[in-house]
Amino acid sequence: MDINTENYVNEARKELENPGSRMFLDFFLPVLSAVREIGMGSFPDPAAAVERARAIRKKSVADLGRLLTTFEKNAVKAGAKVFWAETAHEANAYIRDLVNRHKIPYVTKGKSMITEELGLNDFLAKNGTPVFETDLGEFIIQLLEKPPFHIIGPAINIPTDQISRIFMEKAGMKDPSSDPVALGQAARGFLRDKFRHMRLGITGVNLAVAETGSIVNVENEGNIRFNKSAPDIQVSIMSLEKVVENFDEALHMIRVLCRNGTGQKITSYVTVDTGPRKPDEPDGPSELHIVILDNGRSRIYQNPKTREVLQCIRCGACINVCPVFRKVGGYPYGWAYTGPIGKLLNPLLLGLDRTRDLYGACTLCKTCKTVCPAGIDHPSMILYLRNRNMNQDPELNGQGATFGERLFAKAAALSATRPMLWNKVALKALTVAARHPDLGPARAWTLKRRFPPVAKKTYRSLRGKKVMP
Amino acid sequence: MNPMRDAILQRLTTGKPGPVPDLPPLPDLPHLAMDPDELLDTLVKHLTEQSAEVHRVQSDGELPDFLAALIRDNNFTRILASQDPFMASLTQELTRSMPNLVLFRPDDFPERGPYKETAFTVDAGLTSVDYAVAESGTLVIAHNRTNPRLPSLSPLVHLAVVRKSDVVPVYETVLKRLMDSGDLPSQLTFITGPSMTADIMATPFRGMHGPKRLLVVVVDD
Repeated sequence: MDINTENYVNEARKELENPGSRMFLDFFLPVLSAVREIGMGSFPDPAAAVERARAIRKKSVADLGRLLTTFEKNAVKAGAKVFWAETAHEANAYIRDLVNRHKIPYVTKGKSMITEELGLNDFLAKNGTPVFETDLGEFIIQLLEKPPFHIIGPAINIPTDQISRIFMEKAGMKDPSSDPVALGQAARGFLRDKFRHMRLGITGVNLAVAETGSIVNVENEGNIRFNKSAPDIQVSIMSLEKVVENFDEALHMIRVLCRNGTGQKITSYVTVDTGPRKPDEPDGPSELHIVILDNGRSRIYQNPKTREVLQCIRCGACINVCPVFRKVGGYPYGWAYTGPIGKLLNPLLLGLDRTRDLYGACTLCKTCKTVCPAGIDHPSMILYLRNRNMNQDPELNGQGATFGERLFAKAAALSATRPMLWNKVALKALTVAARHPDLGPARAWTLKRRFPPVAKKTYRSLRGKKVMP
Repeated sequence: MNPMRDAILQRLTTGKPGPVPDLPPLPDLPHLAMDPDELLDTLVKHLTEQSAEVHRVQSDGELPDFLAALIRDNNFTRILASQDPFMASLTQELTRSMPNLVLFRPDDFPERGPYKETAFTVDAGLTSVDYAVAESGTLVIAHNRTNPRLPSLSPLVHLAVVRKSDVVPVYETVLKRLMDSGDLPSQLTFITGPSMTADIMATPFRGMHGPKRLLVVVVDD
């Protein structure tokens, strides 16, 4: 997918007027948050369950190098092939070479934000290999050529008439329909044929278990199960932070992930793969390839302040509660990750220079931090990113203040330290600005906020000159 | 080993190691204190909540006739069944009592192609389960030669037989038993209700890619 993080303000403006997005953001998101609360309430002690999940993630990330080495050793012992990719290109090229070596006519894919991050679909398309998204939401946005709106529901804001039109055009649907069930059935029919003849399936990974070299996927539709059952070759791509030590930890994380993502105790399907199919099994891939993706994460890891972001389990809870997301939706974030986690991951992976508005557009209300089951302190990291940008951190491509900000600060400092300049020029300018909120360099601010009127007499003139010796 | 691997691991192991916290204690789930009858009732309750259609029979002896009636009532004419010893004897009785039923077993297919074609076109998949978890009404299948992956996935209907002795309180029980046996299956599947989605306008419906209906026959053996 194209990276569009620099267009935040324009995309946000559009979304404020987009009825499909408004419907979802204004009505469904509060419902989703409530459903999450109910889901968490099914733990005997919800607070203790969250504390344990946070500790598991912190422990896993603290010990990441050892856990990954153990995971690799056990996955290989179980018969999987493990490939380490330092960059998106290396991961994409590995999959392309597999496709070419085995003369694969097309590939199918389960929903996975990491393949959005990789731009895998475009990469394989350039190789002449069609990619079929098989998650209903991702299938829709792939046909519409749109970015994911939400990590759990990528097309949740798209009106049914738009889906109906694109399905008739590109997915063989015969009659138009505004019924979500009929639309789902049309997608089912179209993709079923792909599952039937598929030879290579691609999935992401929700959790990796070091003690056995197993990978875990969590889903509701069954498309990931098809991608892991029907093909000859399975490729599962995991970002390197997904690993936990053992099944006790993994099972608790599954409970917490499902409750936070959709409010379910557990999703319809959870699959645990340990190696490829055994020789006598009729189903499953004869080759299981696990791609461990870095793509900048080990650099994030080396900074103790940013390391915490790797604890994320992509449940989406922070997104659903974020007051900014509830207004602007997912498109302004311009990449695979949206909402509060997108404000952290996108800048850290892409650089502070092209993501200014992501970490800029935050009210620091801290709701994300309160709900996060992985123990991430988003607001303090957002402040850190703003600080790193102002200080022109070379590691993170910090740019410092903009020309306008620097000019304003210079002018303010100059006039505030010279009483003549302050009284004769600055105060007049402020008085004008207060009267005309739609004019002047601060208009983006004053249009939405009342600028306090400037007092007729200054404090100094009231006190007389005695205060200044 | 490849140089990318070493470079990545080097960055993850050098520098300041973070403190590795101890895990705080967690109160046990209530299911761990339940007796077998309570576990079975809880399982059935959760299965029903997820829109699975649950039937109960009193003993293994009643099962073949009950299943035959269920298959007849639903007009299933072609079925792909798993073939573990329990299911193998059950399906033998079914074919004997239902001469018109076309019943496939994975072993009938020496090639994968025709097996897949069949799995995608039968009316229902009939399987046993290895465990049924009371905690959330979850059926667990440890896939192998006799209980493969597609019969519970590709047909529009999944027909599962659960015996009381399969019922366990929590997911951990399943993993502990499998780990103790020293043999994790290539794939372990947790099934909780029929396939579903809510990807269009957050409208939930059953039967997205996997089965639309999950029929469960529980045997109080």
